[in-house]
Amino acid sequence: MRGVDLNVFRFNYDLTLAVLLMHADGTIYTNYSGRDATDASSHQSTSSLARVLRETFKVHQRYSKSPAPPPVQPAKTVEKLPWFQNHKQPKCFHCHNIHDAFQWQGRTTKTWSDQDQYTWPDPDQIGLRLDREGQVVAAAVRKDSPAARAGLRKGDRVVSVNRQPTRAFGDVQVALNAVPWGKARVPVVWMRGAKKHAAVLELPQSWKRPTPEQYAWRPMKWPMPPMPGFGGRPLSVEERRAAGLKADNFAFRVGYIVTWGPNRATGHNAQRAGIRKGMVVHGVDGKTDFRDMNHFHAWFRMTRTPGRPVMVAVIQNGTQRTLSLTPLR
Amino acid sequence: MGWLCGLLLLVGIESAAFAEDSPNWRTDLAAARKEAARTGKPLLVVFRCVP
Repeated sequence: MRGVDLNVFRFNYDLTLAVLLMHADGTIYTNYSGRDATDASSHQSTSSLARVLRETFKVHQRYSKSPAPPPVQPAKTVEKLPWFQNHKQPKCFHCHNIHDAFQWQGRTTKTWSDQDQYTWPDPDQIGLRLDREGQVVAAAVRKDSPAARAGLRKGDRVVSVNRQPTRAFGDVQVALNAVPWGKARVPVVWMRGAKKHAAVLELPQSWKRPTPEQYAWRPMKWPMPPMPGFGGRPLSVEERRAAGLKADNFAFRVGYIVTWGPNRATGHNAQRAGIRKGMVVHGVDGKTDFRDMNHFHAWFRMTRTPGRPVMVAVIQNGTQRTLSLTPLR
Repeated sequence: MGWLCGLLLLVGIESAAFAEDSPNWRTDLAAARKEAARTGKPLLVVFRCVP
């Protein structure tokens, strides 16, 4: 990402793939990107990309007749971000290093907030589950959600959100990302068959805050406090049974304790609580239904409180017990 | 580990870019934007980050 102007090329830098379709003047027609917690390609396919390309080419032909270039701004590149001006730059800037730089800078200057942490909202946060092939077609609309209350139904094709045209999943995220934090009324337009519908999404105060399940895949979660200070490999179903656990009881074997680097205090804290490599963790404050390790780490960071003890259910040498771990600030 | 950024100047759905030949990827973003401005073609910019 070295040399890439972040004012022009804006997308969720936590992603592993983003395709921007644009005019040479910097106008972005379509943002083909995005994923959910299930898989990196949950919302991408060659067939849907090909269709979106064909649609966007028509947009380009229309736009080229009377272009309206965006205002020119000084280029903002990752190597010029304040964090990397004062710290060692990596040889190669990965996309997620951009979010890292924003977060490290924000936490260091104590200016970081939820509004900075929870960016690029998943449409699922407003109750709209989009289809991979259809991109902007509703695969499902959650009952009693803002999308449902606005009148959206399964099969509807979303054509604009907040007056921004939407051709791909990434466009919907771009539009939602631009909505300010807090309660909001966002216009939405969709096609149901050949008929156009328009309504307003009534978004509640905390709509931009995802659930731990929705946020689990985001690399942005790693620097969030409080941190457990340890992690490991999930047990298979057979291993859970062998440990005397139910098959659906998520469990992992502690494979590392963070005793190195800037977060080593969290690992030392975990050790003081009794966490040891090799022990099996099978519940935290009674929660046993984590989807995977990412979910565990997101949940811990998003829902536990520094200074408030967390009860960790463990098995060590065949003995079950509960450890009390007080997360650090 | 590393990142790959591929840029493709889209030449239209009738072109060989969607047929049998491989697309002619560019890797110089500034040069690709200049070429797109000169030719009137849109840009497809791919950011591929392998974590």
